[in-house]
Amino acid sequence: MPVAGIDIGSRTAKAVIMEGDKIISSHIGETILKGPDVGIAVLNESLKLAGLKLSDLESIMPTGYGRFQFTGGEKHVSEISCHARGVHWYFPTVRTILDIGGQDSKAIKCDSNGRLTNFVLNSKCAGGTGRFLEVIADILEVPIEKLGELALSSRQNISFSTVCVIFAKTEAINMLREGVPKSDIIAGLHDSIAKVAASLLVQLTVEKDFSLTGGVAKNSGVVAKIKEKIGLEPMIAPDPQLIGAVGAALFALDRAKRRRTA
Amino acid sequence: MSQILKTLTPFMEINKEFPFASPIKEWKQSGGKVIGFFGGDIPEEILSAAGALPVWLRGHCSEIPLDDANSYLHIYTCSHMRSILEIALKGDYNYLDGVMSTPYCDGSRRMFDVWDRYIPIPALFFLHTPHKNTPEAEAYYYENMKEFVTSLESTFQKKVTKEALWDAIKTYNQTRKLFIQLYDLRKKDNPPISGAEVMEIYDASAMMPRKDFNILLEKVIDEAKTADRKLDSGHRLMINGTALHNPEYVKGIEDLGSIVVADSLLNGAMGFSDLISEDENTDPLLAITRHYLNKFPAPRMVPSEIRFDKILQMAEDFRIDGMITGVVRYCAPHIYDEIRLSKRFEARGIPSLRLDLEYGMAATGQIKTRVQAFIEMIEERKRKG
Repeated sequence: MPVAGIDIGSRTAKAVIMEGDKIISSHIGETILKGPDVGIAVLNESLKLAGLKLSDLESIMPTGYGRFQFTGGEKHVSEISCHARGVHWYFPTVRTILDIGGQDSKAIKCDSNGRLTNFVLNSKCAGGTGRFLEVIADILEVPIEKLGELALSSRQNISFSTVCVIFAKTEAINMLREGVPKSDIIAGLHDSIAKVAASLLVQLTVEKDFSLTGGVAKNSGVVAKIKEKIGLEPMIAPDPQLIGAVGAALFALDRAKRRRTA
Repeated sequence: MSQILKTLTPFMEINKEFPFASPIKEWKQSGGKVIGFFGGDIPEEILSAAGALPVWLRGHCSEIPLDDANSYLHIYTCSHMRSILEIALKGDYNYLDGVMSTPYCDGSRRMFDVWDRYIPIPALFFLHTPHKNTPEAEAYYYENMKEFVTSLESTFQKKVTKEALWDAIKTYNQTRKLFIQLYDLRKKDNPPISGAEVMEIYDASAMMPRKDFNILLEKVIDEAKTADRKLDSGHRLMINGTALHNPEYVKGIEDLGSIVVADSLLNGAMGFSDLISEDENTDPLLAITRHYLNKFPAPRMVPSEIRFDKILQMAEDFRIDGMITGVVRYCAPHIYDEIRLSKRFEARGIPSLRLDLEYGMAATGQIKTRVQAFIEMIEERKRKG
């Protein structure tokens, strides 16, 4: 029977439906628009895509910041464990994961079974996360999905003195006034994000096969900067934003299996 | 979890009345003086022997706006000190007859300065405390203790007698003996008391006369011993950090599948684990001096190894699976202490987690995610053996 993993993050909610060892559908929705029901809303969308009903699901595993509010699922698992599990499903050799989400970034280590062995998170502040990029994209009037592409065309290195969203915003506005091209400003900000990420990774040991997850991994500009800082080519899943939900679905499969054999 | 221990109710009622709890009110109504203090190295025995009620000042068990406090203390000062100051500036500590501090940390020193300059208070006391335990430091500290006693005597126009000091030492030692009994109960496989409940006891201990407190604590221990209450142990955690007061913070950690069985908190085991010598052939003031130099050291004391060894020993005695340090921003002593401590834990195969906290906060979403992942990691480590 199919199962679902739902990752309710601070900015988006993601649902993945799996059957056996295959993803049969997925959906991403914005958290802000749907309020507390966002988990069930993205689940319903992915059920529709798969042509299934809620009652067809054998198990639902919620994760992410919204997991406490989600009712009707399994006893939840943290998104940190879900990222480790999800990445391992795609890339079994990966032992180090960097997840840059909407409001936090995490460096995660896992073992050969995809089980969590260590992790470090950024501090309380959302500097150097997806939210940081959203604020800047808004100021520069660039669609968020175009940021990466634009940054790659940058001609000069600009370094921001901070990853604080508020201060970086001020710096970016000043640069715009001075006529610095948007592509250079964006590349500079991507560099800041990569620095935060690298400083998290330094606290753990990076092994060669490492993966980037989270919505920010969709940004080619940030990926390029991280590659530069770490000196390694990251392995990135087809949709890195879905990894937490994939991991949750895998935990849902475990729970369903455990019940069947119990 | 099973029903809360009945004997905890009086403590919880007192905590609800913070900051001017009824035992303090009653003390004032009967004409007694109240001295507020901050820092973990205040010889409360001396204040008590001088006839005053020592009250350990703290902030609210919630994250309150610190608007007024931020005008007086830079935001780099820990939110713990600023939370206390906010209450003082609002006038809710106006019941105090005096305030006492030591050079415990920069935050407490600066707050003392603000109190001195801007908040009307009948009396201020400052006790210089060494950072190390050497014969010279002991002699210096002892002289300072004597000066402190003299200033108390002249303020309150009352002699601090040896008898009164011994009486206070015995009362405060009784508290420590009871806590040691309580800690022993937490060493069991299924402890009869949760970490959140112990936090309620710690909080109340700061706001009532010790003799009354001891009677109530004894009742809790009796109930915990006899109630056949076995809390599902889940994973056994120790909490470390600066002074933390919010039971909801501990409960949030425990609700995610753990039980807090030990702590090395400033307002907890750091103050209640060691006894003052009751050898009446010595000078009581010297006994007090030696105790405060030798007791479970805070991060401000050097060499740090004494503190680390003590904590590691506790980790072994309480058979802990993991350590969670809550660092109230920006508590510099604890930030550097945590890094060095966590390395020593890792070397013994015990995982540790650092949480950046604002003073007063309960376990919020960000904290819960970290704690839950930490507990999942402990589970995996155990599964693999």
